Amino acid sequence: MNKIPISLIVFTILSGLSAGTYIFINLIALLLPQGGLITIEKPLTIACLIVMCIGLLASATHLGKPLRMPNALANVKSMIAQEGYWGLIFVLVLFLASFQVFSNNYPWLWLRVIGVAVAVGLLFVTSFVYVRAKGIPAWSNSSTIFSFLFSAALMGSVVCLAFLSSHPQFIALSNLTGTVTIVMILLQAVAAIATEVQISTVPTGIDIPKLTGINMLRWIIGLLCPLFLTYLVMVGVMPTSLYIITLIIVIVGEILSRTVFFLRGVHLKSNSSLW
Amino acid sequence: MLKKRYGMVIDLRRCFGCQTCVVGCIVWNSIPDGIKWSHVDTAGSKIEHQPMGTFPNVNMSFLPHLCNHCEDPACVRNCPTKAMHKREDGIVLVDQTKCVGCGYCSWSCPYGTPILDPVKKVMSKCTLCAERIGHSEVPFCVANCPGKARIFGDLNDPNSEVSKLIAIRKGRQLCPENGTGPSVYYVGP
Repeated sequence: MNKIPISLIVFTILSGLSAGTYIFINLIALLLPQGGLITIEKPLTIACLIVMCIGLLASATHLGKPLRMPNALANVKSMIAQEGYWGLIFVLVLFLASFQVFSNNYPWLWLRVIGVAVAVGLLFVTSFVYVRAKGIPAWSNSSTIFSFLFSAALMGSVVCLAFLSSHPQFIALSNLTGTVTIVMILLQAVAAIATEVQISTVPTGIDIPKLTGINMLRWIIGLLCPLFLTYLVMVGVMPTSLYIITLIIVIVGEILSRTVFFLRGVHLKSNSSLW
Repeated sequence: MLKKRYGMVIDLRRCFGCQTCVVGCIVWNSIPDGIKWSHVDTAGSKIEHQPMGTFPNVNMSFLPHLCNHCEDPACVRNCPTKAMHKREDGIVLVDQTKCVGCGYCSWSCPYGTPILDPVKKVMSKCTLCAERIGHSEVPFCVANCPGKARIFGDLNDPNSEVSKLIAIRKGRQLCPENGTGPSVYYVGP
């Protein structure tokens, strides 16, 4: 079994959290603009910047020579280098947006559009780093892309849900975000099933760890509990303050999911006969 | 005139799994504890020296692995620092002064060849003994193979021993479906 690369788990989760949240808050501002949204956008944009910077710093710690990190931008054809470029551009976008919201101004429209595009690009490139790792069958498949995208979308929608629900003037928006969150949980569940199917059906010649226990824990904590909790709050059975719990368990679930992902990173090593 | 493309043929009929190539590589290249640049698998088994088949129809053969010094190496394509590079003569090397030790070359190599040097904290791999080749010598594993199972030469020279062996004995590459064009060929039992 592979050892757990904590720095990569931290980086992928934090970059997904930051990009997902930024995408959601900006899509809300672009598609459903409402007065007073700055009260939500201000803390969330600044939080996205901080979280993304921590994520990038964490990514450096998995390198054998972290101080040589700028070298990793030399080959633009490499997905790792592209991830670095997209990450840095996203930080720049977040910095500009944070600067504007800090002065209680809404970010420029072009910055929102470019920012969302860069965030989506970053998520794609991050997933392609693993898809292109041809030596590792558990990663190098199409379900990795959906898993990374839906993970970020789920975390972003839950963050927005938790923030919107704490402001009574955004009750309609909060309900809509709740519905989106349920859809994202279901999509992430489909991606999780697709991953299992792909891993079990592709002949790899190696034993990929099943990790049933931790996977079940992830399903219960990260998908089933948030699904029921969100639904119960939306129908009014439980208070909206419980969305904070939903946020926490979704993030814990995604950490467990990413841990399973990295533990399955067993390299394809052929020891079969050629004849 | 074609450029040289150094490669190797491994005669599986001659390999008897003694591991001299593995040990010799470690000694010659001063590879630190815990890693090796080549290894010898027992074909068809996950356990070393475990025969295949059911008694009385059993057999045991070995499959030596080393860097394939591919024509289109995935490690070179995917290295973010350009530390992993391919020389004119086809030898794939890692420039350890540029490498950041991200390990992506190892993830993307279908053979998982590059390995993190635990002392230098950068990637390392088989160099095909490039410095020996520079002095018109063959790689250390080739020179010291007791079974003479390893044959080294220029794959672009049709008159070289390796080219003839590949042609006559239908040399095969390991996992050619990966499309990287390995320069290490195996001729069969």
